[in-house]
Amino acid sequence: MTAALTLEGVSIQFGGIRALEDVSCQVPAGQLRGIIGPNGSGKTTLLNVISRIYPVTSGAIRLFGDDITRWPNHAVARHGVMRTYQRVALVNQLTVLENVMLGLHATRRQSLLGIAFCTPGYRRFERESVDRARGTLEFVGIEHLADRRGDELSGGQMRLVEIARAVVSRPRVLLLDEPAAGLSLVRIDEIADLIRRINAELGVTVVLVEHVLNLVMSLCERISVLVSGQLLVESGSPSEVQEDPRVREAYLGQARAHGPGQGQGEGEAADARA
Amino acid sequence: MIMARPERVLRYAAVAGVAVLAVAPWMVSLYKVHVLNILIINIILATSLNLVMGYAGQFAKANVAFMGLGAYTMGLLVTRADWSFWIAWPAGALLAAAVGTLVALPALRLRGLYLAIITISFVLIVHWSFLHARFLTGGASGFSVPHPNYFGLPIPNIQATYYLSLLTLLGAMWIVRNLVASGFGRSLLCLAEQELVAPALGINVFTTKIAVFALSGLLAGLAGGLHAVTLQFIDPQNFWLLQLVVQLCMVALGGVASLLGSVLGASIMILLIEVLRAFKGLWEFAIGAILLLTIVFFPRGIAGLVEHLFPSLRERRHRP
Repeated sequence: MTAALTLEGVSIQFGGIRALEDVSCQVPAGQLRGIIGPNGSGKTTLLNVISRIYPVTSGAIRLFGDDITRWPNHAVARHGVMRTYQRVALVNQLTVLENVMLGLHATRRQSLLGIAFCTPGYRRFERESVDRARGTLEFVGIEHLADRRGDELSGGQMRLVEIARAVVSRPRVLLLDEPAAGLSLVRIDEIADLIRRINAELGVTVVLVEHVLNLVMSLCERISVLVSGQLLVESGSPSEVQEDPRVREAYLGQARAHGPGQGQGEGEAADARA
Repeated sequence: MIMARPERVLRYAAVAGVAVLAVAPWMVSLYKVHVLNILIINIILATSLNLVMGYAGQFAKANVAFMGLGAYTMGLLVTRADWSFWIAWPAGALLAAAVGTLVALPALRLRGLYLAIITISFVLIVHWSFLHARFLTGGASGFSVPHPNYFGLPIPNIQATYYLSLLTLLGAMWIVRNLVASGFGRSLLCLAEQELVAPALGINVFTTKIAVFALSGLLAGLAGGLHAVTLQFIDPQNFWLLQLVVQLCMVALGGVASLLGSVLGASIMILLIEVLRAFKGLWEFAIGAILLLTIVFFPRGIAGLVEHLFPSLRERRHRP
């Protein structure tokens, strides 16, 4: 199987802080991969490194075999990596439809001269773009919102628009940064269903960073666990990860550190309760 | 009574406005033709500034310098090098566009106030050069520019220049409207609101910024050349900070990221300046008051207010 995404010994350092340390892993094409880990463990940093917002300090990133480590970030997007954000980042002056069309920029662009003089080729191009954006809105189930503006939506709707914008260009890899944050349980089920369909029907490799563990456990075939910038588990099945004592320690150990008792016994008690 | 659809009303108003502008030179005094010509040129300038400031959200203020470069290049080529206006005018605009791409370079790194400071310094430097390169520009006393050669067109020069401005305006508005309703326009708005997200959508921030500054410089350069042949005179005073403030006022009053806003803002400001000309010193005060009141009461300008009242008039950023 070809790897959609390969990280080889990726490290990144901000001043004195090592945010990621020697992270190596592979995501095979077509997989739905979850990344979990306690707060501050570097999950979002990992996504930012893959989409080339942060330059790596050392290591290499490969996308379907191409070394993208030094590529400019817009080139990575054009090569088929799209993403969403923890804090939704829509353009409020654009309608939902236009926001989704913005996502087409990665694969479909026209010359400025063609646009300026409104050539027939450009008209056809723009009509096709509108059709594709509408098709994606239908796929996500929000076609009724097409003419609303970004700032006229609820938080859950914004997330769906952002996902539509990320998949409209049929990316090869989709990076989702906490798509369920702040959503109600019903909405979380909808999002889970949507992510599954994106993966299965559109054939998109998905990397999902998420704090809602139920979602990750039910959705992802393989899960990576990131703790303090290091991969504790490179790739495990949901049950393997759930049963791994080191993972429990990483999550609950953190709770213990903040709790009143610091002893080993307290941690085991918390373990039992969980 | 049947309520007319607002977008249809707006379209009729635009057609009526163009029709009025087209027949105006034969209906009103020569002085009023001159004022209308200045108004038309200022709509182009406001559009140019709005592209960079409103659509792309770049706090850049170099517009009057682009305008001055267009005017001086055209004027000097015509008077000193004996070029035809028809070659010198686009040459001036192209130079302004080229300089615009240079001004885009700091905008790749700087944002907000810092970009404003850099670009205002650029305006000061350009103005200083016009003022002190006396051997070339005549310094503070400026130099006169002849009418363009209209090849025996059977209408007076003043009217001919007026129609040249009007045609330029219509062409510029058509092109800019096409651009803002396209992927290019959408990426400009993305730069304005979510600059960090833009590259993750495949938008090349570098080329997009260069393109919008070049386009803005081109329009301001064209407007500068027209301004010079309308006044038949070029002096540095027309490319000074006060003009910049007036243009900022047009954009703020009319509405950022709106073509309708550029038209309304420029028209209102120029007419207001004309009305208040009789009361010396009053119009500077009026400009300050307008800018303040607009920012407090309608932060998105008149166009923002119109769009709020009639949501169907919102500017489209795609072709339906």
